[in-house]
Amino acid sequence: MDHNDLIIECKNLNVSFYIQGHGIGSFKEFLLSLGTKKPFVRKQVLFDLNLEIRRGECFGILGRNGSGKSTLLRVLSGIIKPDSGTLRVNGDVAPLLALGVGLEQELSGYENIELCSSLMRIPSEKIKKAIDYIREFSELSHEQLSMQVKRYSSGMMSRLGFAIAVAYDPEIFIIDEALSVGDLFFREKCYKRINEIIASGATIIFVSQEPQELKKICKRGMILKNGHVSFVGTIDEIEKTYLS
Amino acid sequence: MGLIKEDHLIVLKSLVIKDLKLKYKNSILGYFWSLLHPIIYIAIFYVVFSNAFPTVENYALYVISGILFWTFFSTATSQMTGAIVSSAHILKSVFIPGYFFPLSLLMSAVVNFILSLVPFIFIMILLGAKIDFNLICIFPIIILFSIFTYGFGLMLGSLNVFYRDVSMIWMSFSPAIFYATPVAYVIDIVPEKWLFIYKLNPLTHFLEATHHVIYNGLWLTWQELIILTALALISLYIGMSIYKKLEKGFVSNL
Repeated sequence: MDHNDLIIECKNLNVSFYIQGHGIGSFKEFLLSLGTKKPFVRKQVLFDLNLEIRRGECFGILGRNGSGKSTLLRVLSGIIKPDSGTLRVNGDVAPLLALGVGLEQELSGYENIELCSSLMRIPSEKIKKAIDYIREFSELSHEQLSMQVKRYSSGMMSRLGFAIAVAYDPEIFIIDEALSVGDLFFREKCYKRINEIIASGATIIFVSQEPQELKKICKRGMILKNGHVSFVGTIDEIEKTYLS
Repeated sequence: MGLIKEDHLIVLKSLVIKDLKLKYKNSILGYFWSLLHPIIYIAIFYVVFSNAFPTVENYALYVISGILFWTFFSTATSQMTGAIVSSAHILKSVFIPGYFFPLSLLMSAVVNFILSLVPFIFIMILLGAKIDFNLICIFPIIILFSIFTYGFGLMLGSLNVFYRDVSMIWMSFSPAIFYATPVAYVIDIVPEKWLFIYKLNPLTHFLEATHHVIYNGLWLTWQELIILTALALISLYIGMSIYKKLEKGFVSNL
């Protein structure tokens, strides 16, 4: 395969958590060592991971709780540095900020649009242009967007979060079990928007525990099991392998 | 830590704006609290201590110059202690260097500090402070004091990720440090044999420099400037080293 076609390439990636080595009980020990002792105990989460994602495809990652899916996504978006191996990402990654995790409760909807977008490093002219789109997509009125986010229902929050995340045509778009929220109509709208994003040539990485969800948009994917890649293939093969 | 890139500036700017907005959200008096808080403090100290130090001429002016700096230091450090912990949700979902969160809090505290300085300059004139060119010395002091505060706050904020005791410890100790620093009293009343302990407290040097400039109307001496710069850089170095050492554990421990 031509190398320019690969938008994400991981080779022999090893990733660990660093858990604090001294429990509360041994705080004294930590102080007495005056920082000479290693502050962390390493716990490996991803093992020797190889992954190739092509430009413009919609790639699914399937795995159970604790299989390392979120960690992998954090590595791909640059939040966690791998211990060893090579990681090449040839594009901008739109972060997992969807779903309103980045929303600041005390600020209004409008203020949050500005805040979340700038945390995604979107310049302010671009944010101004996107506001109408976000209002329309999220189905929130001007009045609601002027309200503090803490007064929103959880559905309103995820609508706003999703609308902000999809407003900027990213090159690589990460969706982390995002679509399990919102009502049926909004969910349909999300799938429609994701298909638009795919049609525009962007790459999508979709993470889920449910093969049926993946099937709706992905053609290819992999199964992650206890930090190892256990299978890579087409979505039908994946469904079969995962359920068997 | 690397240089701050342009797209990092977007992030930093919006974090500062957020911190400034959040500070007075849901309060009626808003920005005026940054004036009221030190005024109330100063009034208390004036009432309680002015009779205790009858030898100090124009005690109110002396207290004002000290308390403004102290309030900046104590509020900034206590906010910065929780900065990384309270930004866990952002740190886990977007790539933003962890030291940005204390930095944005510090910057919003500096903005606030400078804004609150303006009306206090008028009060100080009323109290008989000499307004002279030497007052520009206040700016290098503010810059160096901010760097000092940042290093210290970065250290507290990083440690607090692993041991939440840090914020408790700091909350209990900062009043003690207040009394160990010549904010509300003059250093002359300290017995000579204890003086070296006072000199070991870095805050003493910043507060003394402030008093020299505002209260005594003097210029900052080279010697003072060198000491303050050294203290600021040492604090920054310690803060950054501790941050560097602990940084990779942030995401797994938040």
